[in-house]
Amino acid sequence: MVWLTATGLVVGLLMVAALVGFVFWQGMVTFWPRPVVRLELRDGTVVVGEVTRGNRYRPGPEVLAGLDGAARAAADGQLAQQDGRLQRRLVRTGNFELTGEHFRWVDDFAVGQQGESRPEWALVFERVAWGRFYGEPVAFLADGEVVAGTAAEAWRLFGEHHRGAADPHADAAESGPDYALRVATAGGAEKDLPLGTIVRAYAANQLDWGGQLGLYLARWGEFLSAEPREANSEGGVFPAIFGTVVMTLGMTILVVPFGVMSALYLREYAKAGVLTSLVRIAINNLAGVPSIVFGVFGLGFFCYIVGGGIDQAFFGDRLPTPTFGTGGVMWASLTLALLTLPVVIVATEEALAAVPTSMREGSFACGATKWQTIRRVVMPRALPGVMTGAILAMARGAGEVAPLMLVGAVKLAPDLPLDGTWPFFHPERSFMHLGFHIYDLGFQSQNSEAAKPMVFTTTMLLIAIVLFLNAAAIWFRSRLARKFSGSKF
Amino acid sequence: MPGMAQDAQQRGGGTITGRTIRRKPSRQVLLGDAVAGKLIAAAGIGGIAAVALVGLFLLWVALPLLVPTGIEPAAVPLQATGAAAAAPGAVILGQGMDEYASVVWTVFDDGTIALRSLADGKALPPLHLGPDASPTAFAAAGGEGHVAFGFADGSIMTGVLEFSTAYLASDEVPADLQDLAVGERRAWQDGLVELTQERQFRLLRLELGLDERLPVGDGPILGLDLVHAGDAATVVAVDAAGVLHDRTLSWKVNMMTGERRVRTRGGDFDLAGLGADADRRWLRVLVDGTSRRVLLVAGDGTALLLVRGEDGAFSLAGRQDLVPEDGAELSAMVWLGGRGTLLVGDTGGGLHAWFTVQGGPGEPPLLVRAHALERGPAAVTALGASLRTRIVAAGYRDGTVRLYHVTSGRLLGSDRREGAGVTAVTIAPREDLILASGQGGAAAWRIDAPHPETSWQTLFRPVWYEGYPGPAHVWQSSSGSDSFEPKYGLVPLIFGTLKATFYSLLFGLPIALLAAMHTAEFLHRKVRARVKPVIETMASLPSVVLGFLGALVLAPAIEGVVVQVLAVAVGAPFFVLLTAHGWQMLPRTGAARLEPWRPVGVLCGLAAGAAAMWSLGAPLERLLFAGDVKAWLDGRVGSGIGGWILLLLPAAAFGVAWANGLWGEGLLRRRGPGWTPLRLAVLDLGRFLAGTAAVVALAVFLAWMLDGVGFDPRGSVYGTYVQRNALVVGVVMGFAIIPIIYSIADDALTAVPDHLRAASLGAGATPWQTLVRVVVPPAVSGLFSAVMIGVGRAVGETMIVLMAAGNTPILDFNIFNGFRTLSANLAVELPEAVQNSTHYRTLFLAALTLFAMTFVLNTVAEVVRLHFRRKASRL
Repeated sequence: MVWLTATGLVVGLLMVAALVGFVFWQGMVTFWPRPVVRLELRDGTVVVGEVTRGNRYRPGPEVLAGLDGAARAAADGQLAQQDGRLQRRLVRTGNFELTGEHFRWVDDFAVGQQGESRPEWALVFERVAWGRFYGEPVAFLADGEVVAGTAAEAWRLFGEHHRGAADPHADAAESGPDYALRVATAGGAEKDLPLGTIVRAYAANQLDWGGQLGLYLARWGEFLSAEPREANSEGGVFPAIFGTVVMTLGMTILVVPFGVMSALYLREYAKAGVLTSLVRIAINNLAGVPSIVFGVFGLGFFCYIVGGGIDQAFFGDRLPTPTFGTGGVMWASLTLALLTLPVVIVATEEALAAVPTSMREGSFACGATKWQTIRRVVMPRALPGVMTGAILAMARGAGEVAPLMLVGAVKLAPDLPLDGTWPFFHPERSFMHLGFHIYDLGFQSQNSEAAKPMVFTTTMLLIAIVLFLNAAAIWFRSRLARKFSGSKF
Repeated sequence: MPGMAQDAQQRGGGTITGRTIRRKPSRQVLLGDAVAGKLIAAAGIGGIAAVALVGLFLLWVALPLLVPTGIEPAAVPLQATGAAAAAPGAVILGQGMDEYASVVWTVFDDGTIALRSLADGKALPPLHLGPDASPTAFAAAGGEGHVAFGFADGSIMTGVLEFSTAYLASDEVPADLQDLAVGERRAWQDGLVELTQERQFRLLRLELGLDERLPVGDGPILGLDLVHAGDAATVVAVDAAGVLHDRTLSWKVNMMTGERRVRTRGGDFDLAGLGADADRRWLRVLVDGTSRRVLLVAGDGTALLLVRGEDGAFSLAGRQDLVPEDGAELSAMVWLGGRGTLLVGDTGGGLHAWFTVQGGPGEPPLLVRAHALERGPAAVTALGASLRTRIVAAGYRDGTVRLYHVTSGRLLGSDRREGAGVTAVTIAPREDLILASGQGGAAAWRIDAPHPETSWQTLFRPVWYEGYPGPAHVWQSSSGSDSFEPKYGLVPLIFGTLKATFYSLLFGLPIALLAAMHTAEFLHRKVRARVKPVIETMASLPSVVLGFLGALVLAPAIEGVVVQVLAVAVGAPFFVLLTAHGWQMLPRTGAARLEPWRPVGVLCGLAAGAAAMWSLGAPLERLLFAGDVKAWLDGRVGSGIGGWILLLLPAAAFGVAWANGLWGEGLLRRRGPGWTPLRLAVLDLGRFLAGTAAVVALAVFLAWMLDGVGFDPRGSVYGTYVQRNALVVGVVMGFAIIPIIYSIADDALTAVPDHLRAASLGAGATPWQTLVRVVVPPAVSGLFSAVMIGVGRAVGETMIVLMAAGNTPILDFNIFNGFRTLSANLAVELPEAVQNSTHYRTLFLAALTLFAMTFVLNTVAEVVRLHFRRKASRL
């Protein structure tokens, strides 16, 4: 029976390890470049792309019906071996404007004998629009004229002239000739890719270890610092990181003073009695009220009533388009501040309770007033506890998504809430948030398969932030315990 | 001594150190103290009040849903019905109002269309259908102003009776209108002018455009109805000769000349040939919104349902007495907006709503009486329906006017006007005014019913919505169709919330409690200090991450290997116990040294069990679920035995364990003391294996019996597999609640003082016996509060269910089907809800429900926890 309890613990620990490990593994490998494979199918089709993943499936009769000869034999062989299932791979083929699809399932039995190869000149293009492009370079063009006719030469010239994607706001006239790379795709078509539309290109099968690492780091750099592209499925998450930080900071600034003062009031000023214990129960209770309820309150009260009131009073000329009367970073911060208030109050109260009464009495005996005692004696000792509460509140606020969906987190907000234009802080602007970004990428994206790697990296980033904050809180708490253990009078 | 102190104060710097001692704090310090005290009190109370505000605000927004409604007489000076414009004794055939409820028109049977301004009650110049055009029947299609008239010579005429709005240019505003105040209305020429908020002069005129008269039959038209769709209208008329005339008119407007051409199709049907009683006079005819169903109604309330076939011909689909009550006769009928529901009033004051529901496959539709509204004081003489919603106004013979909402069955308001009965009643298009006309004059009432469709019944009881086979709990807040009625039943959402909570507890509760027991009782203090924060870290994982992993990683992964997953869940604990029994057979000395490695043993047992059960998955699927579990779940293949076995295994295991405790333990205890440990261990292993065999056998036997009796678990606990389902949510949300339950349960167990444990162990009890009999009983209220708080978290969790539950608001216990919770519903719908609409307030009510649920759970948990803490401190 003891073993059963041990099973419970082991399963619990395994689940944590598996989840965090899985997310971190997926997040870490996502940006590592994969080789480009060329699959020649038995029916003559050629598929070029990166293998994303593979699985086994149970084929319906329609899959097998149209097969003949060697393919049928290969499929039957697999079916016999694998308990009626077939192996297939999901290949990212890109070239959306030509084929109308980003991904394609390829059955293993459909690939011919020696039909799999890794062509040396297979290039991967990450572009500003239309997703990835796979193909082999044929020629390099300057103003429509072919300058180089071989793959190697074209690729060398590309390396010379490519300066990253063109800034759409920059003046096009200043730049030199219009360069383009002519690329042949697996389907036999040729397409000229203007250099300005290409974010990054690499010959996946030529990269050595160092090249792969460089590409990997470059992608991480882009991820952390750039704006999203292609309906958020490519590019970076900088606005989301920034939005999360601004929102969380705003929340902290709002919640900590109020939380600390509430706790001080409850612990130091209010008379202990039925009322304070009732209030304490209520506060503990509110820590358990679902976050979405706070979101509903935030939308109804802050956005519609307070924000609507501000609009009526100050922005009447812009109505009915709301300025403050809709979701915004200020309302999100306020809502989350309300949500995390119990966390801060409870943590601060615990820290205050841990300060021995004898110290207060000593201070009073020396003639200090109540406020002096609190400021000079109680607060310094309680500070690590307060910090713990604040960090826990930040961790909770950074990871919370449900209320933000109602009070201002949006899928794309190119205008940051804090920028160089007066008045620098724009509390009415809606913002991007890492957690909402995950939800949006995974569930609202048209090309959810392509967005998957981004979801994992974003998830990893969010978990890393939250775990870091929690670890910091735990560290503070243990330091507090060490510092003051046994220091009672 | 006081003297000395005074002395020191007076002399100031007379101390040894030369510093001034002040016995009183400086004014600055005192001020600081007072200010800080006030500030902290204010901020503290403010902070606490702000939190309390949340609940109150939700209540404040949701409450108007349930406030009483009413109608109150409007101060509109109305002259007599406007009959002055028509011939004396003329009968009202129809009545209507414009969008702003400022002009009312009345069609009389002498061909006059009288117009009155509702602003001052004055008559505007009337319109006429033309010379010798005295209609015998009139119908309006609603909405776009299409109307049809039937005449005594057997002809019909269609047309458009519509208000047109024009704005007067500022230079053409005549002098007598210049003094108009904003919002004031005044009759001018043949229309009504209003000065709008934007200071524009809006001219409202009624325009009548008539098509040519279309002879369709010989006898006078008794009843006709008109339905309009796109650029075609269907007119159905019945004449005194008992012939049904069906005409579909389509208009073509020549772009060049603006000429309007009418094309007519259709046929005439002898009612006797359709199976109608020849001796009844069919007075009324009604055509529904699809124009495929026609209802013929005789004066005594007998109705025939005719259905139009593919070839356009009608066939009789059913016969129904619309007023089955004795002594009551049919007296008024009206279609509700969308023409799906027919409201029937009778001479006994009864009001009933009828609509058609699908019969069985291949059977004709059925007419059902779905709603009975509160009986009125006299015979119903007039009915008027809103074009947008299900509000209906009824006029009675004694002058009473009542306002009902049909679906909710609510009587919204009632008032009586002295004088003669009501012959026509109309609800303004914006549902702000009722106008009732009768022989004695007309009167108007303002409607005060912001949320007529909501009541406790519609929120929490089954409601019979149009087209549904019976009353049902439905949540459906939006749809693509125009005549859609929003359905706000909270029960499916509450059910979804409870379903999610149940399945997540099923998975999370055992793990959390077992893990807490192990951490509190069997782990070394140092290990415990490291393990606990790790599990508590789980609590801080953002739920959006869990939801995403559940929906996009776990759900597709589980889909292909359902049987394997279930097999591992059921079988792995068995293998762990098997390992434990093997462990017992180790020599005593070795076992003691290996004690710290027990988790590794557990891990090995778990891994071996998982691997074994996984490989058993496919054979089990063949054996129990006919080789394809999804087809089995759909009910297409196999019998219910496999499902029953899975369900009954835990019950059988408990039964066998109980029986073992009843008989097996005693035997072992009597004989055991003389045996060697190895012999005991072997015997124990044998007992365990025999017990397992008994469990399986019992489960199979019971399953076979149940299946033999005819019970099939499919359709209740099992059902069609959906990728995002309760199983996935159970696992992922279990993950979310494990750390909460674990943490509080662990605290509760460690709070039990050590001397109890020492006494128990000293008296010879095993650690397990100590845990179960000594530690758990005093901690049980703490464990309970842990579970309550875990339930609270599961109830309110949003992102996980939003992402992994599929969000279909259905009432279905099936573990393999999705659901929608209160919280996910809020996240999905609130951003789209219009502020202060019924939808918005209902969502706030949902939030309030959620708030109340968690508040109760948490309060109970907190009170129990405080009680436990007091009790534990006394031990």
